[in-house]
Amino acid sequence: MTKRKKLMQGNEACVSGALYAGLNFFAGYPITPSTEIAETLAKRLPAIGGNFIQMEDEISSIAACIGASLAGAKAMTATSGPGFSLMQENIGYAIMTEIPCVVVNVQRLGPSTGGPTAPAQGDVMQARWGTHGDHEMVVLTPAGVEEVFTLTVEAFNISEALRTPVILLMDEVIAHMREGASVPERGELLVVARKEPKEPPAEYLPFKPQEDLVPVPAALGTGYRYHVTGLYHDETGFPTGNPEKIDGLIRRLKHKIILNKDKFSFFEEHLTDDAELVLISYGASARAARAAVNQARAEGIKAGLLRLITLWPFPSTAISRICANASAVITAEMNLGQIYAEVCRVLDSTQRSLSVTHVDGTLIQPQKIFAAIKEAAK
Amino acid sequence: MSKDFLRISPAFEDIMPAEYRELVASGPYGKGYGISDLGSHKELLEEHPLCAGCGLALSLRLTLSVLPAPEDTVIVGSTGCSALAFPQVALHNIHSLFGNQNAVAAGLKRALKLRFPDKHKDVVVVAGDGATADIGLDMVMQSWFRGELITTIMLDNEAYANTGGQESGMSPKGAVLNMAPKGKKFQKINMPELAREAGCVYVAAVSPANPKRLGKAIRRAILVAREVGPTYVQIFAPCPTNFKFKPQETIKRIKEREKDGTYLTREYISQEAQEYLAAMEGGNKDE
Repeated sequence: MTKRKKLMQGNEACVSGALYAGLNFFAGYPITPSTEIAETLAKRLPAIGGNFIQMEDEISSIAACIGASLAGAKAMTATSGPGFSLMQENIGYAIMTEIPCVVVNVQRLGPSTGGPTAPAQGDVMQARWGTHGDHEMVVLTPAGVEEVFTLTVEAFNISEALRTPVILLMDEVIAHMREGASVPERGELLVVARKEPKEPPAEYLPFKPQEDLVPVPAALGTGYRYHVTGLYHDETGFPTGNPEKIDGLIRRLKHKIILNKDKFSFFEEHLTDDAELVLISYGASARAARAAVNQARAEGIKAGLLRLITLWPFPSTAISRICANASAVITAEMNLGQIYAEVCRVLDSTQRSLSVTHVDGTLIQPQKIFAAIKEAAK
Repeated sequence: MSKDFLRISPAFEDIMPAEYRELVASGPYGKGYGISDLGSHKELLEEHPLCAGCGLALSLRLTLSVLPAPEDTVIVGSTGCSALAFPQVALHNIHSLFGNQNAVAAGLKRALKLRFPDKHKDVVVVAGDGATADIGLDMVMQSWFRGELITTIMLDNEAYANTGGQESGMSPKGAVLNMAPKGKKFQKINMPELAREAGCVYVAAVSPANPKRLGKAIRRAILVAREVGPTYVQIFAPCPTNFKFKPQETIKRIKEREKDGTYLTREYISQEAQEYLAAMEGGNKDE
């Protein structure tokens, strides 16, 4: 049976994906270019018995999500650069307290108020390092409307499985673009449910890691009483000043993500098998990069595209493997080379690594990337 | 007040834009104009990109026309529709981060006092309802608690208009907006009462339907904030675009709301502010 495609906007696909994944709580604040996510959920979430709340700012929006998630809800908020900056302290809190939630950041041109309707990918490093202290982040970035849907589902799944906030990093073009997308049937995609403790409350340790290094903190109100704090804490949840326990926690929070990262290290290859020139790109830029690669092939240049879908943890292994035989690697992105610097770190130091940057508030054009390919192929 | 510092150096006169020369020749600087002088001089805001019939645009025009000392005024604004107009205003203006306006204004006012201890430098916050009563409420109220000598003016269009019409804390209960498809669920925030309780020595709620009253409130608020304490003016500025009424019906809308009691003009003046104003307004022909 051929699947029917539906004309959808990226932001709408995010809503549909979130509802598919079991979203039942959303708190947000209007900000371009993410507003449609909140506006659509204001209509759809109450209709299915969920809770929608417009908060007074972005700090309170993510804080409300954290509260809801502690009670077992699947919670999400959506914002853009300025609001994402405000959320950073709470993102760190969710990492430290191991509270699942999904944060959608529809990037616009920054810094500061920047360009509310201008496409950009300048929040790549902020998504990774925006909150203070050592930590790992999971950041996924879609390049099409259908992928917005599936990655939103993935974001919830990873968040639930690893008990950590997951960032869905969109850009303005992907969020506002409308294109045909086939919507998966119920049961077609995996949906991970919140784990519940098996032991009785008396023997229960909320922050005791399981084999996958992830603990099973119970939903509040289910009879398991414990303490939740952003301070360093032990397995009981109570604050600790014990250096060994502090060291153990900070390392476990990092390692639980590293240990499991192969389960969600997503990328897509296009004509890379025999490629002499490998382009690395992501999000809306990758659409332009793909067109540039096709144009290069038409002119006999052996170019290929590696499209990153999981940005963080950085897919170093895939990049060094796919680029191993490339004479040059070109990273194309709508910022001043944030992923390019990471790519350079991964490549053999003798390998040519080039950067195509774009920060004028317009969508990067295939011609610009093609010109870089031609130059590199000379 | 001298406007010497505005004078164009003779050598540059021919290269300055006509608009600027006109502003120096017949702008409001140092003149002490009021509402009734509108039309007789070059205004601080003459062109702007706001929608036809925008209550906020009209309120802004009236507000700018009554500043006691435009040459010594700094406006601190925030994100929202008003931020679209301020680049066209011939005044110092800071478009601060969303919600941070009263904190920026407090720092600015204190530094101006350090640098110009013997002069009045008016710091006037002009921001929307979302910036003032939602995202910026903590900084707005803390500035009042601390007694900062600044004037806070809210242009209340009862919605987040710039992002396409979502509810704000100042939207009336029941208002159907994009994040409130079934109507807003809680009451409009009573900001004038909050301001009074938080330490504002002068509080007024006005609208452009009564320009003289609006002008008087702004002028009083700015004068009182020079020496007595923080002041607050709330201007009801309905938004035809998001509340979907005809642009020419903005004033009619205000009058209807006044009639049904959902918008009230009011003024509160503390004892100390009253005494200060009595001394200031004694010889003022405009009042």
